Amino acid sequence: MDVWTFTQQAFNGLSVASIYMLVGVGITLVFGLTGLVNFAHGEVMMVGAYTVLAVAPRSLTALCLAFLAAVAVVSILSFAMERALFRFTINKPINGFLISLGLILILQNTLIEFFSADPRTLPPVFESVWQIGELRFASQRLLVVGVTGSIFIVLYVVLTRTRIGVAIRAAAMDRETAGLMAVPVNKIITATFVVGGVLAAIAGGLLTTLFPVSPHLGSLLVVKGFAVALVGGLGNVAGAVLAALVIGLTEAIISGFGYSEWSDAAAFVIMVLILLIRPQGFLRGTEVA
Amino acid sequence: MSLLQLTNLTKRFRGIAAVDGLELSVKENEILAIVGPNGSGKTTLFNLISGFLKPSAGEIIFDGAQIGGERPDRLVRRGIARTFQQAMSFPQLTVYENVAIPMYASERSSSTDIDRILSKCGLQGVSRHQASTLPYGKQRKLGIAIALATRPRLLLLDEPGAGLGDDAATELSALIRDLRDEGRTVLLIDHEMPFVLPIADRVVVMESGRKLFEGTSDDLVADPRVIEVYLGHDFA
Amino acid sequence: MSEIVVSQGSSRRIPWLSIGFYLAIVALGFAVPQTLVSARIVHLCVLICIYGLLVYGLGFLYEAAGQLSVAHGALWGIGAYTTALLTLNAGWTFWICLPTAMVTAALFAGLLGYPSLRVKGHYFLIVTFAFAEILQTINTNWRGFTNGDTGLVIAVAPPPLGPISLQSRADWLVFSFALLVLGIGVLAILRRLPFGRRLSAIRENETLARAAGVNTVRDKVLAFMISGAYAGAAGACWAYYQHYVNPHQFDSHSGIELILMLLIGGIKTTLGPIVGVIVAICLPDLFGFSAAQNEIALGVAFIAIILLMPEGIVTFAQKLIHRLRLINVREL
Repeated sequence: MDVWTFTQQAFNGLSVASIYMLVGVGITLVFGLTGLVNFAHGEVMMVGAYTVLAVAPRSLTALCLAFLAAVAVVSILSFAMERALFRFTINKPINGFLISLGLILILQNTLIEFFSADPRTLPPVFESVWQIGELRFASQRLLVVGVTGSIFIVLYVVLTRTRIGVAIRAAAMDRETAGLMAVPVNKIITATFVVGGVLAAIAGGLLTTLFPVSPHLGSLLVVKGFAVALVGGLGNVAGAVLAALVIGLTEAIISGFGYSEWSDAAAFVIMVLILLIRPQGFLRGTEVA
Repeated sequence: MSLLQLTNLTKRFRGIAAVDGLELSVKENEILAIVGPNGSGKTTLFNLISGFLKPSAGEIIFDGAQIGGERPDRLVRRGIARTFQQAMSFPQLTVYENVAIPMYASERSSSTDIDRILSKCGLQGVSRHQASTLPYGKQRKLGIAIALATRPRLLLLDEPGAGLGDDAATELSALIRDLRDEGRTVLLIDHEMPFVLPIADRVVVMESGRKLFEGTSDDLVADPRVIEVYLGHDFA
Repeated sequence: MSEIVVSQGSSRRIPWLSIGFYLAIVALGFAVPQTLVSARIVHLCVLICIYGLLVYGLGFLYEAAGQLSVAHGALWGIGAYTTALLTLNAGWTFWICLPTAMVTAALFAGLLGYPSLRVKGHYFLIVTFAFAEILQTINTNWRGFTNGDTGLVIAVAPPPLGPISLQSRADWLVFSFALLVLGIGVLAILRRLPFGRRLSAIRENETLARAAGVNTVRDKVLAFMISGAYAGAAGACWAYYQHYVNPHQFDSHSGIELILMLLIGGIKTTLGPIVGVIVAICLPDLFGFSAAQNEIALGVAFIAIILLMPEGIVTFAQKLIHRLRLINVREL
């Protein structure tokens, strides 16, 4: 593979990695705070995706509105899920995991009932392609990378510079002590859950601009999201960003070599390797494995 | 004769050394107490010796063999057993079934041993009771009984007397002396000086992962460094 | 030394009443094919038996070692596809495919279990879920080997093995029921062996089990492999009974449904798992739901059970009856 193909693949991989990053960070934030393994996170993402599809935007303005709608819908859904269901499992995360299994069946099949299981594509809002030498940068992909980058800058600022961000990180490190220091832990948990959902909704929306979507994608993407979170260190946001880049790039390179049917296996293999060699993840997570 | 030898034993967690270059020699058939303030590294030391943690540096030599980093179940086969700071049991199993587990794990004991251990630990009356229903004192004894069922040569007791009343504490002291007289070696962590000093042959004081003092109980109470660590600079 | 201790715990008295009860059920099971006319009901019963194998295998891992696996649907698929591929490409008969499928599924379980059972429990959940999804993706994409989405068809029936013939649905019912009963019996025996005792120690308190000398990783992996073998057996039966395998039958959803079946009935009783299976399989017939609606109903029911009666229907019913009896006695 020559340099140009590699760079092309790297760019494509970057856009895919952006999506994995958004999903994975939501997962790792919630896990770090509550120990909850929420497999229904993928379905939440698909709700966001299908909201965007339902709006069927044709212009940039409509696309922004569609994203806002997705964020709104998913925020309400995440809030309801946390307060009505996961709230009761805070002391027994395994029950939360089990509830998430039930939610997968409910959410995915509801989407199938309303939208059918066939793949649907969003007609592209941006059709232009930027060409530099031999490299082609599709505008849609640039959009994905750009949006993700901006979100992470905002997230970084919030987590490190604002009071609520510090509260989240404190609660993630030690929930009990944070509670003793008048950090409103319950509210933090709900807020983190909703933030995770919002990130997933945006990921879902961005996904529709890149690939055809079907309700089944939720399960596959939550696997990628968990692979990202685990490889980066459960609870570690920076680790998730790094892991998403590694996994996204690996998938793109495998596709570049012509083995795209096997690219999904890359995430799994990387995850197993990490478990064998360094279970706490690239950068350490919030627990000792 | 040294049963356990620790040479330059170190364990680091993200740059902080919980145990720092510790040198210790444990003689066969003695009761050695390890005392020190919270955070001095005592439980980390136990975790290292019993295989629950791998050393960052240094050696652990048991009966002439290097055992640093070996798995807990392999160390049990070598004859090292431990109890835990919190009272641990298999909650839904009966007391008898609890003490029987080491027998199912390795060939180190048999059913006659179980009855003997139960009566030695004062648990024969509750042998059919579910472990979760036991009062605190008996739960602590159950932890020791399970460790004894592995037929250890070296027994590590982590704060065995924590939360026990005076009577129970006296019983425990007698039990520990009894175990030593049977030929075992006991390593003991505790906070309570009045409990530890009368029964220990030797005492080691740890502070910030290092050995501050090593000697007999009498030497200990007179040592100025120890007094400073426990009671503050003014008393030294 | 393999001393099986007759401990003094109350659970060691031989439960004659229970054994009689189970024998009655078994006798009833063998009588069913002869007396029932409806082909649909016979078919449902076969499904119940095959799913029963899967769920009891899954339950063994959970109840014995405290681990839940989302990969059992995939392991089931490995058994089914091993059987289908060996039958179509190598001409092997069902009777050889059955043990082969069990061994293959057990091996995959071992490979999957070793890295993930060495670390904390939630890693195992993540890895098994990932395995189920990725395997289904590979299966769908690897058209050359597995025929992808189109699936594989087994048109033949198994040849007779001595007196056992598997030509009709009724034959399959007797066979699968016998297999299920045998499977449950084997698990009951395993629980009483030292291996089973060690597993219960691991489930109760894994740290203490390690301190007591149990090689927890080896035993957990072994338990996972045994439960995988059960899934493999169910897969072989499925391939020959349904005559058709397809990647989407064995994805993470399938694994999720198995967990739901297991926990709806509950694991504290011997009959708990099969009750869950019966509920899940008879649900669509009772309400006439579409496949998607069925899954939604199952999901809702499951969440309700987790929140309201987490030990499952059977245990909840037992406790309810117990409480009602107490009330009645007091009123006398």
